[in-house]
Amino acid sequence: MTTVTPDRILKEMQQLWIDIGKTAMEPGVKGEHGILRACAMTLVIAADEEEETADIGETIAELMHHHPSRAIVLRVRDGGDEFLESRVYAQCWRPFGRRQQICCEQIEIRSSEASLRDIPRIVLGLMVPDLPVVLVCRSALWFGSNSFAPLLRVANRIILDTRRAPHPVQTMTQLEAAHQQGLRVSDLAWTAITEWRRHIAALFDDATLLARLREVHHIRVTTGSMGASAEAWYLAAWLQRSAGVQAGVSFTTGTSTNSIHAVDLKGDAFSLSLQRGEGSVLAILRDGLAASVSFALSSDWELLREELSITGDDRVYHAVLPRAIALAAAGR
Amino acid sequence: MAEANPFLDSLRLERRVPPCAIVIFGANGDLTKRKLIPALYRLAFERKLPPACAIFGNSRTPMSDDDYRGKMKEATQQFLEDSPFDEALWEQFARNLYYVAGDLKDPAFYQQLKVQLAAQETATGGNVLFYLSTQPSHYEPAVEGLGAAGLNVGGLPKAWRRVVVEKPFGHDLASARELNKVLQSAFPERDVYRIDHYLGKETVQNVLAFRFANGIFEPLWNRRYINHIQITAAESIGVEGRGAYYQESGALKDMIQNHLLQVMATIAMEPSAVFEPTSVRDERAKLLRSIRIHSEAELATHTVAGQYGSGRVGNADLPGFRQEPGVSPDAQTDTFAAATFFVDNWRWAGVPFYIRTGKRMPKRVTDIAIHFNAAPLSIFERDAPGQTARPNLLIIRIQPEEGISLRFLSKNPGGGMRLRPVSMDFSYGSSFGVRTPTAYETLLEDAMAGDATLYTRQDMVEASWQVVQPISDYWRSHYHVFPNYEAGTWGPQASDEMLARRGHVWRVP
Ligand SMILES: NC(=O)c1ccc[n+]([C@@H]2O[C@H](COP(=O)([O-])OP(=O)(O)OC[C@H]3O[C@@H](n4cnc5c(N)ncnc54)[C@H](OP(=O)(O)O)[C@@H]3O)[C@@H](O)[C@H]2O)c1
Repeated sequence: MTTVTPDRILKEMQQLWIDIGKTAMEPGVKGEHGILRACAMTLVIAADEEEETADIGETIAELMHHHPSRAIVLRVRDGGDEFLESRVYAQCWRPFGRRQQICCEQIEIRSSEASLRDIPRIVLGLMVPDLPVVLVCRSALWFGSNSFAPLLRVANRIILDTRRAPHPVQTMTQLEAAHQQGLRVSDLAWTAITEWRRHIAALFDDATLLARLREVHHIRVTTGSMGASAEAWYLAAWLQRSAGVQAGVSFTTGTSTNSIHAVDLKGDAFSLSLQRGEGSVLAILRDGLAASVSFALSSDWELLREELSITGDDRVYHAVLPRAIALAAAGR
Repeated sequence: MAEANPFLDSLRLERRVPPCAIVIFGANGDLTKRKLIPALYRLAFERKLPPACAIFGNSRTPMSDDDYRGKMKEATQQFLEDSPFDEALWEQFARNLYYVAGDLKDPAFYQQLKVQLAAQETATGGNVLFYLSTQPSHYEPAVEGLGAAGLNVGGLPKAWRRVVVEKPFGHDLASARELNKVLQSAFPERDVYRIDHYLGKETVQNVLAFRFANGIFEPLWNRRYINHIQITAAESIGVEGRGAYYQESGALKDMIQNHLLQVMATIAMEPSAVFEPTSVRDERAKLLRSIRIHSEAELATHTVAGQYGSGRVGNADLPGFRQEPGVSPDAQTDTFAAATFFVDNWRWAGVPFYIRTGKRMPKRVTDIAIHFNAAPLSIFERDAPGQTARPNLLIIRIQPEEGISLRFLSKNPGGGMRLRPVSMDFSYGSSFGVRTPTAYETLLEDAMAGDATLYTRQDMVEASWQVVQPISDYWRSHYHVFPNYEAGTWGPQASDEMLARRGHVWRVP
């Protein structure tokens, strides 16, 4: 097994840039106008074992248009034997209408479970100085692992995805505990409901509707056939908190494949219903009047892009999180 | 006050533009084709246009809606900046694009427009943004026409009517005041949006972030540490067929009166207490009012007019301004203008602000150079004679390559203490790979959303005319021996001499 150390990886990277620079300047080569090396953060992606390398590569490639970074992808496979290897490469793209290519560097580190403890030290040596460090835990297991703790401490942002967690309530509770300890955590399940929130907020731009908000005494979230999930708990908790009324909350399981199918706000003489239709349509029913608008669907990388654009504290999320845990725990 | 929407979350939910209609006067003109329609299309591409946003174009040439759509499609394909053209999206966008032929001096036209706007009212909520993108002489009849037809006020409750005015805001102080009187006869000041596309440029906005979001620069941002400031806005092109128009305005009025004084105000203004339209604009206005108005004697030494003659750039022979089509052979127009300004306040007293702008210069570039004072003592003088006199320089590049760089001295590798200037660079392109919105996209979206932070206010317009008018009068009362610079050069010698009087030289951008 070759030794894997930060110094060696950095040296390989240096060589990689020299090679890319040379190729890019060769006449007749695509990108003859040189390259621009871009980096605004260290992005550590701790991937699930079963995730395709190509999928992660694609996510990073899409992300770099908005958030150029030094990406470090960590992959762990089962096994008691010590195993560690790394490779470096660059991803380049040419912005529309420009001649120069923009390139970002990427490091992939593969290890066995037995070698997991060696990873934090390597990653610490590879962080780009003075720029933010963002840790994306694709698998919740990474987040709970002790060997990973040193990385959590240096990360400026930790992004999880409870939609993929086997025990979402437990992971949400861990997120709340981490937040209480001063870690800046976020959850892509929360990011995934932005589109719902956008439509609801837009409806209440209407002053007449806003004035009637206090009439609401019940909030119902209809989930897909998989039942209540982190997304549904977050949405219900957010509605309850923003509405500022002591409205009751209930969850109903529907038949659709979407994680959230519909939201209903009810009062004695008030009724507002938003319902996902086929594809990207959202039907809005307000006091018996129907309208439909387009509902944007976001891919994983788009969610990640949104999350990376947030540089400060997401106060709304942290106000909603404990409420969502309570709703989930109450089994509603 | 209206109750706030508790569902809003400025961190994630982007500002929503309320439904509205847009009426463009001068729909057949150059600005509409090059800037407005491509910007609106791009806003639609980014889903920033409100749904069912109806756009009405007006000019006299008879055309059907479809003819107009075809013409604008071609223009958008040609002028869309750094962005792909999507056929399907265009089809959707063009469905809401209409053309209303008519003379804006004809009252019947406004009645026709009224009917068309009313037909869209359910979708637009009665909100209308009027955009005056036609000859300046038409601003007044258009506003009067809107007022007379009652189109300046919305019929539905809470409906707004706003008017966007393109530069020039008058051709002198008196006409600026006159135009304002007309505008305000129909629209209250809060609904008048005077566009200065320089303020919409991403890097100009970034000056505010640079100054007021960082703790390390502002303490140096004053007469104690800054020696002088140079603002350059150079174009390599000539008047490009607009000679007749340009002959009447000139570089001073076309660039300095509006854009460059606004840039200067952004560089020199005091921090506002909060980032909201009134406070930011108050500070800009205050700065413009603090610019010293040149005395008769200063006008001769602090200002320079220039006009390009023919020249050879590369292997191309370029005509002089007086040889351009539509220009009189003895035109006294300034195609180059430079001036030294001083700001009379405690922060800037005695610091020269040099501004220059011109056509047919060696390249297209707009930047701001902040020249800091040299180190008070040069301890390396023996090894590096004269070197330490090279002061630190902070460059804010507005176009074409947006960015910021800082020049400082560093030791040359090897023995001895030889120094050489090096540069620390921040380039927008490499830190943010994404496309930056064009100024017109930013400003149109702001106007629809009712955010006037980046728009000029009447008091700012008047303050800059107070500064520019004496220069313009002085130039007009003197005969200039033009041309006084060759096409493809950095302007007349007098401009270099203006700086040399204080021991300064123009930086080569
Ligand atoms: N072009 C630029 O890049 C630029 C930059 C900054 C500011 N501006 C300002 O923007 C404004 C528009 O500039 P522009 O270059 O687009 O002007 P333009 O090309 O001359 O366009 C003016 C349009 O107004 C229409 N028009 C003329 N008389 C009319 C009337 N009586 N009734 C109705 N429509 C009439 C004309 O179309 P018909 O012949 O069909 O009527 C013409 O297409 C000006 O104030 C200019 O100073 C322009």
